[in-house]
Amino acid sequence: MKTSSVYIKKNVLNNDLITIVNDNGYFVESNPQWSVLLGYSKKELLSIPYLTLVHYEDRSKAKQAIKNQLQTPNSKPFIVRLISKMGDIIWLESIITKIGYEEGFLLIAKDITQKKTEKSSIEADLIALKLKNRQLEDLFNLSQDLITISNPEGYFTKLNPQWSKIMGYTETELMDKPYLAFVHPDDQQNTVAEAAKQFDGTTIFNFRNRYLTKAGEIVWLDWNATALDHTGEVFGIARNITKAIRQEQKIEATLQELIAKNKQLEDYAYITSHNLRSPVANIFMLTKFLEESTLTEEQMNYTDMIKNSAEVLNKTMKDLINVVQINESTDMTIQNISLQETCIEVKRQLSAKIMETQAKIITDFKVEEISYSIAYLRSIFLNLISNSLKYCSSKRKPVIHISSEKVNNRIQLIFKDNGLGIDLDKYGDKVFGFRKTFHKNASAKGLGLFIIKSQIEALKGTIAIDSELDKGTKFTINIVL
Amino acid sequence: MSKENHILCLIDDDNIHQFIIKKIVHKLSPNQKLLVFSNGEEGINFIRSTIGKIEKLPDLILLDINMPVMDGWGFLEEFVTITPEIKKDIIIYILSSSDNPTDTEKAKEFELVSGYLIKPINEDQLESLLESV
Repeated sequence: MKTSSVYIKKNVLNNDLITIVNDNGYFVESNPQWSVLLGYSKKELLSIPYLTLVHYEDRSKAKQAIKNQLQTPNSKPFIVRLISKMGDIIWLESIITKIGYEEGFLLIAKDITQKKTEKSSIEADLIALKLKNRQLEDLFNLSQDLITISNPEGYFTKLNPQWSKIMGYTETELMDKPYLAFVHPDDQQNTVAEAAKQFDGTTIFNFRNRYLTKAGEIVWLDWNATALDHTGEVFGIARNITKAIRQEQKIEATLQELIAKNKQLEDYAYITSHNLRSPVANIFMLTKFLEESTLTEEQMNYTDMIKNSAEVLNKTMKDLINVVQINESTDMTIQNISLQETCIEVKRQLSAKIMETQAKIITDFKVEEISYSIAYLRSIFLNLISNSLKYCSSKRKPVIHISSEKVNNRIQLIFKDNGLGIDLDKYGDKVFGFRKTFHKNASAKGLGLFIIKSQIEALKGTIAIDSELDKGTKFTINIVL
Repeated sequence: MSKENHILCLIDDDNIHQFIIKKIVHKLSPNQKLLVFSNGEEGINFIRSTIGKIEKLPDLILLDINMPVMDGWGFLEEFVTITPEIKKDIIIYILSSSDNPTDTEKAKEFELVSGYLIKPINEDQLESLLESV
């Protein structure tokens, strides 16, 4: 015992921790390093069993190791954690041997905490890195987009599985040839030019080109790409926009078709009117000659009827042409117009009919001036007022209320009469139809409402009708500001 | 009143319209000279063949647009090329049943077209036309 104690005392300056532990597991002697490391005074150390200092998770391991070491001299040192007085973990690499002639054991331990924590932090970093890598790999593999890295020689060096899925080639096939070989011939030049930009460090956004699949189908790709670093490797992400492009092309084709159809219709209307007008004009003149010749009364009647028929025919054709012309933007100039003045003008135009029916027109314009097409506004006033006059009730004098006001972000223009009204249950969806008439009235052409609806809608507004038979009709026009 | 030594010319493929114009012209002034051609080619051929004979060239041409063989536009294009040789002021009016804006606009491109009339034309219009010559 003395020898050992002396040995330990002499080793005051040794960095290793040296102690003698008795059979009960208590320290009998220890060098100062223990106190330095664990924070306990020597006196304290001698009063605590060694195992109590060991981290509770490592205690059984320590017990086992000590047993092993004592049975098998020269076996590997064991590593356990001790807890300092401050609660810190101290990693100790220890060996324990029987001191032959004395009671107790010699325990020599080395503080490897620093090594251990460094190692564990590296391990942790590595694990985190692996996790990150796996996450990135997952992202790379799961992405719906086509992701690639290509080298300065123009070959793909890394491709995500989406490539094979979309292109129909295996990954090896895709990496076997320069990527340009897969680009649509018409887009190769652009692609080369665009790729060249990257060597100046330019990042490409939204570059579009076409690739050809193994089956020869076109795939439209929308690229974002950037040079990774000075190695010249390029990182690219492409989105397959083939569907969207197809959709666009389809819409464009439909639009072109519609424009053509519309033009065809316009031409049709003009040609029809032209081809019909010539003979109608002739009929007019011929009946005129007939009238001037000597006719029997019967012949006179026929002539009259022919003339009337020709007039109706002529009018119908003019109406048809009017309808076609609404869609042409001739009268769409928007300007500030006074509602009051427009109303007065139209009243003047309809003065005969107003006098005849003894109609009363009451206006209340809370908004007096609006930005609108003057021709369209006149058309609205003219058609709606003349409709009210035409379809007035024989039981009462016509009263027409016209008002305007601002409602939210639009102007409401309301025409309300006390006339015959329309059976909306019966005709609701046809009121604004082409050549629809709802009264047994000879002068009804069924065009006015059709025309103004087209005009209002051409200026993004709406028109709605509310009517009750024998009570009256109310039109509400919404004008967008 | 119209001067009867003036020559009126109608270029129109429609027989009935030809008849109507003849009838009105006759009514307005029974001795009015009226040349009638059924298409632009007949009209331009006549003018070419009588280019030197001022007294035989028309003073006023009523020109239809839609005609077979050579339409009104074709006639005007040919006419423009020979105007320098014509030593007479010939007034040309379009007389068509087309009120298609593309036609009325196109007519404006020809300086030598004095006006655009839409069928049917009545006695009063024709009378004032003849007087204007």
